[in-house]
Amino acid sequence: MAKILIDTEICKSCGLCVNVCPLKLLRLSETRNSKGGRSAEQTDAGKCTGCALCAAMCPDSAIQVYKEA
Amino acid sequence: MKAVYERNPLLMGSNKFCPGCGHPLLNKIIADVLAENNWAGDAITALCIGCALNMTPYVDWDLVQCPHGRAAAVATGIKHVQKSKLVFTYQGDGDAAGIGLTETFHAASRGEPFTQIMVNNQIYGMTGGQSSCTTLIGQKTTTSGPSGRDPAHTGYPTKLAEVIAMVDAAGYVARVSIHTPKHIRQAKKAIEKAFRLQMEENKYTFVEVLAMCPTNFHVEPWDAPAYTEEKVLPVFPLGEFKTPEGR
Amino acid sequence: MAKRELMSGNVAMAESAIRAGCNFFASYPITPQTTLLEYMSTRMFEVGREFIQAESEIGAINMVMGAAAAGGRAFTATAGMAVSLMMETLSYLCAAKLPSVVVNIQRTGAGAGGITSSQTDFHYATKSMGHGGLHAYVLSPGDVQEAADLVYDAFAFAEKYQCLVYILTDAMVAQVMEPVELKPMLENLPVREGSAQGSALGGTKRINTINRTDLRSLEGYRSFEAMYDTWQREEVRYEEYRMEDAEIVLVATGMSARIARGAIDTLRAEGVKAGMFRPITLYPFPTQQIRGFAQRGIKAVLDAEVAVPAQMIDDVDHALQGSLPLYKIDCTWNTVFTTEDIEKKLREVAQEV
Repeated sequence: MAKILIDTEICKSCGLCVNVCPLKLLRLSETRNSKGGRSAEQTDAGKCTGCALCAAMCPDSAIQVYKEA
Repeated sequence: MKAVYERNPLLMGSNKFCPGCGHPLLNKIIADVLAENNWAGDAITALCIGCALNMTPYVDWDLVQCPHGRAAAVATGIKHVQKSKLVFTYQGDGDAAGIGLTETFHAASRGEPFTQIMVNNQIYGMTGGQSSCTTLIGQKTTTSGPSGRDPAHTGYPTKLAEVIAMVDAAGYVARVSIHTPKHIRQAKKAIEKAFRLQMEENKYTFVEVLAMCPTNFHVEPWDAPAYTEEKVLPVFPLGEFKTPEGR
Repeated sequence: MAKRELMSGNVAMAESAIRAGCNFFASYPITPQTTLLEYMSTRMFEVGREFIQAESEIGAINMVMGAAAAGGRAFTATAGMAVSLMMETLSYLCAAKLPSVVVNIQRTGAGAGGITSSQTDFHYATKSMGHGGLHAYVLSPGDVQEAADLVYDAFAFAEKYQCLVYILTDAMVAQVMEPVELKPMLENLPVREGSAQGSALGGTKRINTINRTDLRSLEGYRSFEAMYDTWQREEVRYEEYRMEDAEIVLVATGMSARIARGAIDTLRAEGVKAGMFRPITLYPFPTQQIRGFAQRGIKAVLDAEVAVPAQMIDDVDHALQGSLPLYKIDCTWNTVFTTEDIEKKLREVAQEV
């Protein structure tokens, strides 16, 4: 099982991670961060494989990925 | 839990680039190359004028801010004084291919053992979207006129990687893109190769990076990869144009 | 006593730079600087230092900037219109407080101008180093020995104040051959702290005009102002020649002072109490010293320079503040005044006061 951490304050809502997730587990949130942006959020955490494409694509290094060893 | 992808400590928190901008993405790729090869303590960047300036507070290695276009000359001076260090320029297309073409070309011609990284986003970003020498045919900018770049008026996009590949003393010349994870991997490999050839074989190396500028492409950030695929790649083909092994 | 050698101003300045610890030189050929570049092209390799013939003066000065930012003792030499090509980066060097030394061997006049010796870059060198209104420490040598000494001292001065030192000379000083006693070769100079040498993660050096000198604040600019005030108080240099009881004082620098020196002797022989005041620092200009002329019994001042319209006369006028009558003798191009011309002018001034 894998887990991603999204720094919602660093996220700029560009949506590039949403594009690249092969399982379409990411979307832009309805809630706003302190800058007024809709940061990325994960929808179905249990399905995440930890492929880290979202983290690789994120321009702002807002996503970190962890996996069960 | 084991970390698969963690924030690079060479990056300092948030940055001032626009959403979806290629610059912080490329900053991250460079930071990863530096960290993975233990080069960060040797790195000195000659930084251009333009949007790239926002890199100054964002990355945690030595930087020298250069006058517009002159990064290749400044890097020449740095490398001659710090011969064992990893010296690379970080420039936009306006900087390296426009105002600074002379400095770029002659640094390559002399075979100065540093790396030039040119971020090609086909636009002048910091001043708000004016035409660059790399602007695509038909691309609308704030100075192109309403129908976009017209070759009858301003000619064709400058393809600097192809030009530098013709220079005898250039050791490695590549054009890469960073609009998908696959391209990011290739870009990282090219930059690592360029740095390694500088450090181990004293070669002049040049990497042109196609970067997204959703703000001035006038597309949503999430549509910028498709824009790159459809409009930019046909004009600026990717690949290694010169390697030590031969063309 | 050290050996005295016969050498041109260009070669003396080049060798002095090397002896003062210059380890990076980049330049581009231009008359009348070329023999300096040629000398460096072989000598720098002999002593294991870095030499580059750049693709342009823009390239050369930016290489100097890179070398200075990375901790090098950087030097370039050029002339006339080519200084214009360097101006943007000269502003950066001042603003980023990057120690460096630049020699300008003046050519005549505007545009392409000519290659004859002149003093037409006075304002250009002293009023603002490129855009932004900052200054270099500007020195004017009077002969080959002084050219050698000023270049030698320039490197230490640049380190002391983290500034640009600008030697404003002319073809007469640069190309004449005179006996020179050179200062010793400095070895094992310390590495400058704060330079970009690879120091990531915590020790990172960001060399620019924002972080380095806080040039986005009033305080940043005030700190430059304070440095220039210090120069004005402590670093002004000049020569007084036969000034003890002088009533008529000629103010001249460089080639003009060389031509005028004999005229002072002639007028003294004729019984006229003439003397010469030669500014060596052009920025800071010896304003207070000239302002004190009236209190010393001086009755008139003659400004002599190879520039039309005359330029230094503005600074002399500003210093005098109308306290004494100010005359001028000026010339340019192929009509450089002779010692006799200056004698004649001094006699005229003597008759009027």
